[in-house]
Amino acid sequence: MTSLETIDDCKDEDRQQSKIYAKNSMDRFGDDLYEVLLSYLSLEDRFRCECVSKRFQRTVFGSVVDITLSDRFIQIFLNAKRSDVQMLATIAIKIQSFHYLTDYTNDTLFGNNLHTFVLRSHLVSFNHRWSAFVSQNQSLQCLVLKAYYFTNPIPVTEMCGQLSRLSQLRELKLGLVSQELLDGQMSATVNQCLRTIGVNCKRLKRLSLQLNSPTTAVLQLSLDSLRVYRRLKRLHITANVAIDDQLLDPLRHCKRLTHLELCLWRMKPNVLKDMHIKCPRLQCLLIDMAQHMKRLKTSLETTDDSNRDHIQHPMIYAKNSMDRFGDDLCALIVSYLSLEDRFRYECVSKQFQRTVFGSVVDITLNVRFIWRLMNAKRSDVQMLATIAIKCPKIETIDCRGIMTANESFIPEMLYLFRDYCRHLREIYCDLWENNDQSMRSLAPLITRIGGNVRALPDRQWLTLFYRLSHLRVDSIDKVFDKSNGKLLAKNLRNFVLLTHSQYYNHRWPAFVAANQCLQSLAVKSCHFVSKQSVREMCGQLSRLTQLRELTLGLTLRLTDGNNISVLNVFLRKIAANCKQLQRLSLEWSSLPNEPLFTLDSLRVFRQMKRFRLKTNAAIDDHLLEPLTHCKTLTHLELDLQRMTPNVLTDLHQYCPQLQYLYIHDMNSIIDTECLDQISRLPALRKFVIKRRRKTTFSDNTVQKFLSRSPKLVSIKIM
Amino acid sequence: MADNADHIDGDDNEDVRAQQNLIKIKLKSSEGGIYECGLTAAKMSDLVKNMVESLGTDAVVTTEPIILGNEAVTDAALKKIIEWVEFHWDDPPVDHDFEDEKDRRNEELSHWDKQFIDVDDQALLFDVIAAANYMDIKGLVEVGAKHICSKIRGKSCQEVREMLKITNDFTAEEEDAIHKENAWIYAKD
Repeated sequence: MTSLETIDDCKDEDRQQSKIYAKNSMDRFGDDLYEVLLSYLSLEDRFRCECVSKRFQRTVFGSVVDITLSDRFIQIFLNAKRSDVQMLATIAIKIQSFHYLTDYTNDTLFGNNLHTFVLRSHLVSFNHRWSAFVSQNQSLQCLVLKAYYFTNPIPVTEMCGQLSRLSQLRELKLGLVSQELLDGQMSATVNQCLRTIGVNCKRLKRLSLQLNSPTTAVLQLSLDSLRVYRRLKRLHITANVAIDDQLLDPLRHCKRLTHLELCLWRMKPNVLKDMHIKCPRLQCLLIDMAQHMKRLKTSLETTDDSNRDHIQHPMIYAKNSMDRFGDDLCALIVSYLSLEDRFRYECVSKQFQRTVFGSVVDITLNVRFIWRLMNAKRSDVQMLATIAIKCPKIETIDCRGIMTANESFIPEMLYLFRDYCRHLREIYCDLWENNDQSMRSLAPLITRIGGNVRALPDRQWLTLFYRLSHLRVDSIDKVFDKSNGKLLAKNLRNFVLLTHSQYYNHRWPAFVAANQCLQSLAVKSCHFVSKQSVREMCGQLSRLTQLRELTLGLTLRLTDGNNISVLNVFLRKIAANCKQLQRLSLEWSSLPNEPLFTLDSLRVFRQMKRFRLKTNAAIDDHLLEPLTHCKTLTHLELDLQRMTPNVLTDLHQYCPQLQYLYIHDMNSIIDTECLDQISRLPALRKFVIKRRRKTTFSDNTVQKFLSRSPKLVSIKIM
Repeated sequence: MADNADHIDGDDNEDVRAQQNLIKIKLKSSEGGIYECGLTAAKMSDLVKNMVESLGTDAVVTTEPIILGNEAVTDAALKKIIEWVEFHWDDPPVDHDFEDEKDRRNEELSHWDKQFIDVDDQALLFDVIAAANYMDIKGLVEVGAKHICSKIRGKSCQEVREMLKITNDFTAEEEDAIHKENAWIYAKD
């Protein structure tokens, strides 16, 4: 045994030991040490020395974790081989302007997945670059924009809207230089921008602001929007404009602030009043008076309100009184109340008052709600303000589908909520006509548009909604610019198209390319007459690899093929490419004399969880058989005009996992025997049946059905 | 069998879950009563689940019962809770692929749950809810919450106080002020 072992070892060691290096040769060092030594080379020198030896080549680049692209460096690259620059996409890029970030040959950006990005100056004319930059650098943690020159507030708000999509941002330095801005506009613009960023970039911990205005006009700067930066730890403000005495008041909401640096040219002592109340956790305060610097350190001891603690005595509550529950549990229970009931029961007790509004995170403004507000005697604004103040945690407001008569109130209401609810992040709305200004200023918050884009006077506006994720239009043509054909809606997650036909097929490639993250697509009514056009659309849709939900309303009247087999080819291709697809809804309208409708292609939808089928076609008893292969199917909805009871016969064998079954029983074909078949579904929990005639089953039948289905939770007969 | 149970995470495998539920563990109420419960069912309580996972299934099955020390976990409440988890342990898991959270919150209780939670003794009802909250059984707390909320729907504040035995700690002036603020609620449709 031992001999065997030693032989083995020896062989290996022989090879290694054979190399003996001279004491004075650098070769004697191992790779590790080599790498440390070479890590002190400049980037250019590294490339220069790469071919010294193989070991150099192995180790010289390992320690490159950050590089600085100077003007000269970039010039060298631009003069040499352009495409190489892309390979150098790195962790820190310091460059002059977006100008250098753009490869003009193909109009793309170089920097991808950056962590830190420093931009020394930026001009309005490069604003359109932000969209792509932000999309490609979602992991950006630190952004420094040293000077942004602007004369008009709109581009600044646009830029900040884009920046607000950087959800990983930890540190932001923003230098804004306004030129020829009117009084007050600066303050309003800055606040709106900060608000947009603060609400969306939840991880932001360090903020540095530099606000310069060359005019000597009396600007009163206030920074009310700072209140939304609740996680802020360090803040730096430099400003040469006149400031409000209450400038630092909003910091009361930044409970975690530990470092504050102020460089205010026109600071008055009043600004610092009550600092100990506003920022109790401040550890470092630096005040730069432009002339002389004072460093003050507040004492780290915080004044604890310890004498308040022992006011709370243990209380004993009756067992059958809800008073026994703590605030947490009470909040959980009342969270199931409707919004109106919450207000109704606010005065039940102080505990109710404390807990009843905390869980309101989304509200729906419907006609009834607006109506009530208008009928109440106090002014709407005051009323709404009370609601907004009481429910400070609102994140989402849904105001889709409100009649035009009441439409004019909506922007005003939304402003109010925006100003009071600092968590507000998403607004779902229709598009309002004749509301240019409100649309622009609310745009960064709007994420879902339910109505029709027709209401939009200028389609270009679509680009204002940087964070738009849900959109519904009547034709795909509506998301393209009329004049230059550019796509206006990008990075959508949910898209509803009411009608489509082959005339608009040429729009798909651009749409699909720019909406690769689309998760849900609905084409409600789609009409084709040629095989080629079906194939075209299918080819494009199958590139949407993130698709989870697909709704298709199809009418095929092909002159050059069999409608049903083309449909099956279509579905097969979708299933093969869209691997994430879990929900399929199909509406098929058939000609009266068409052959039997079959859905053989369903067998390839292995991941499908929910399937809905609506058709007027003639079907045979084995229509649902392909579902045998969809092992994960849990929800099935059938709306078959020509259904026969036999379709359901073997359903329990096809879909043993089925939890939910909906049947639109138009011709009342579901009888006792049919129910008997359905009751064999082993996992069925909910059964909904919709019938045209008001015929119900006998108690006996229902009872029998219930007793046979082990897991049935509810039956609904509509 | 118990050995296997430790290695396989039963969450995604229905057979394993069913098999595990045949293993009985003991739960002890704050009043000292000891009750048996299927393992999978008991693990609907995050509190029990964490204990089982840190102790190992073997230890839980063979040794002392799990002590549930909160005063709300009375004998009667624990019996009710075991009844609920034994009925619900094989519910299908929540499908996170779809945004159905809101729908689920608005969904009405099933017939079984309605009958289960509709207990006459309000002290017991509150014990069950508080105990479920302590044991971290989210589904059961939800059932309790929906039940209470459906009971108070349409009632006046005074009726709510009487029904749930809530002490009114507002002064008349405070109450008036709130009523005024919320006047829109009482406006006609």
